Amino acid sequence: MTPNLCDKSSLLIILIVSLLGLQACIIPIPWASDRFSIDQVSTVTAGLSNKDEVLGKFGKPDVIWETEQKEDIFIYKWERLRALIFIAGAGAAAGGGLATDEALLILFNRDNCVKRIEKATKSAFESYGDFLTRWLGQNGQ
Amino acid sequence: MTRILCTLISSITLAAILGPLYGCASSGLPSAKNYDLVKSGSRAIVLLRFTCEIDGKPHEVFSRGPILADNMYLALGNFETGGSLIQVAQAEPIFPSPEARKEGWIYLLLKPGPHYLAVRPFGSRYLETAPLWRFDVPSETCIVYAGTLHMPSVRETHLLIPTGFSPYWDRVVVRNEEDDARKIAEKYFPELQEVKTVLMQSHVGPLIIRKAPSTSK
Repeated sequence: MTPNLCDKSSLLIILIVSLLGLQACIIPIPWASDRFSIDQVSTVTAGLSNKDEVLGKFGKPDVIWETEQKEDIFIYKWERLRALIFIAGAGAAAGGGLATDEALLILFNRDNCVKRIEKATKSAFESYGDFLTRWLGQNGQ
Repeated sequence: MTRILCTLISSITLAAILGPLYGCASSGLPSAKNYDLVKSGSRAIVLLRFTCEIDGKPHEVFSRGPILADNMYLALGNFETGGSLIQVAQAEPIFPSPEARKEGWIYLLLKPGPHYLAVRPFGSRYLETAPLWRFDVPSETCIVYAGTLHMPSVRETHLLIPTGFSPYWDRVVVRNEEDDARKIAEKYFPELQEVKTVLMQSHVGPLIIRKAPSTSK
């Protein structure tokens, strides 16, 4: 969960803007809120909480990944606005937002007990499938 | 005057080149590389048909010209997209031929596993609220027929100009035309073995995704 303001996509934009001789302004938005706060996430504990508790606290997931090991992963997704970007030059100006794909991922064992719960950020340079595979691959899964 | 004319001609040329790339799906058969993926079992050819009727009369679903956008956009959600609905890539052909396109037949190259289909008629904005259909691509199957989506619709107009159609979603049904699907498969994909029918079904609730087996790269 590192802020992505210095990630490759931001650097790429800055590089393009510099090469084109334009002026750009990036305003970070550290106060943008997540779909779930750290406090909310910390109410669910690996090894203790179960699927019903998770459904009660977070509601139905957006996506359920059924893994080859027959363990379910609940995926709650949202976009988080990281910064506003304004570009000007040649008598014109444009603006937009830099957002990252965020997810709350909850892995259950076959007995529907929480095995792992984490908030994670998808890189702009990987597919969602690769992101999920990478996440599951961490921690020796 | 000459300069204006040149600008106009170059703009039209650019639109003619970029138009089809931007908004329209094209006709053609899979490349040799994609055929190899199908034969290796890592992809399957999924046949789908879309039919539409307006006031009880058949209406061509993909009837737009090469520069204008198609009448209908298709979006798919699966493991690769993390369940998000992503518009079907326009770079690859989806119609086996112009004739098949007229009849509403498309094909998609997909990995084994569950897939979710959403259709967005031209002009409607919100894909997120569109109804979903789920179909499962079985492993080790070359051709899958996932059904015919029949859409009774109403004609849409803007300033008296027809702009497309809008389906009555509660009357949309999935039909089984597997005999016709078999004929399409025999005509356009003769090298491949028998067609397996796995009809799509209406889906509500969280999307369930599965990663394709490790042979499916």
